[in-house]
Amino acid sequence: MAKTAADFFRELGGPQEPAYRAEPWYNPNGDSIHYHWRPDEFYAERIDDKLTVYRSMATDDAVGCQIKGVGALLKQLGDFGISVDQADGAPLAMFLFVSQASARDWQKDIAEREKTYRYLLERAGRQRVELTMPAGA
Amino acid sequence: MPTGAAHYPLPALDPLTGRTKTVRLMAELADRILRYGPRQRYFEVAGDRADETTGSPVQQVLREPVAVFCGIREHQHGGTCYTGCPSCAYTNGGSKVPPWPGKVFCVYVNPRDHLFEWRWEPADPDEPGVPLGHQDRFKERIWPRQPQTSSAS
Repeated sequence: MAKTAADFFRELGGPQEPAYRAEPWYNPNGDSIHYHWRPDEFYAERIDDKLTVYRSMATDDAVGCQIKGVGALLKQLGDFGISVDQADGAPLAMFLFVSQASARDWQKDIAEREKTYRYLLERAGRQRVELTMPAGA
Repeated sequence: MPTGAAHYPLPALDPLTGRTKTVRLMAELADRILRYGPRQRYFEVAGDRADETTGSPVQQVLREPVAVFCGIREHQHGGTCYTGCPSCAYTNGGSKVPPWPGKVFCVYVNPRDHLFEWRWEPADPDEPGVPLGHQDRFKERIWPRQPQTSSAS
């Protein structure tokens, strides 16, 4: 058993260079997609219960995003007959559209929220993410 | 993924008992953090070489949270958010710096006690140590425990 968290990471082979890949990835522990297109030090701004934007500590620019509740979003897509090839990857735009349509608990006013989603669609919508869903999701 | 331990145990406050429980950083997630970064995420769990077991923001907030909230997401019943004010922050280069002003550190744990997200968020200006909008985001604050109100008359 690794003695420290740093030892644990070392056993996994890291940290290594480059320590950053500007690609979206699926987090099965959180059932969410994370995407940092810029490696700034960041903080998180919650937009609604499906979307969080990562912003630069230095400039407040949007530098990434988290799409939450991916299993539920896939189910909603499935209800409309839209299936996702999990091995081949799915475009983030698909998740952004359905999360905007189904999200609740908005933290932003409607115009600002709309602007955020539109920006993310343009910035990240074409990126594809491979999904490895946990059993039963 | 390299072989090794399947998880790393992190001591955490059990908000239901006030004792200590174990939250797991799963190898699968740690591997993704190493691959995708940003590096800040790694240092926020691992800390620095001089203080590897106590110094990281994740470990500090799990052990001594200002607050713990449950009901973090509609589809993750039982998940919790630990929030607090760690003594330090980290840059992507691994430099230990003072905590970011106006921010609070949040650590998210799923219903299986697996760590799944950690990050700085805007703090509630009226209540240091908890995130802005906490009243609407979470189902309930479960730490500190609220005193039981007596119904006896």
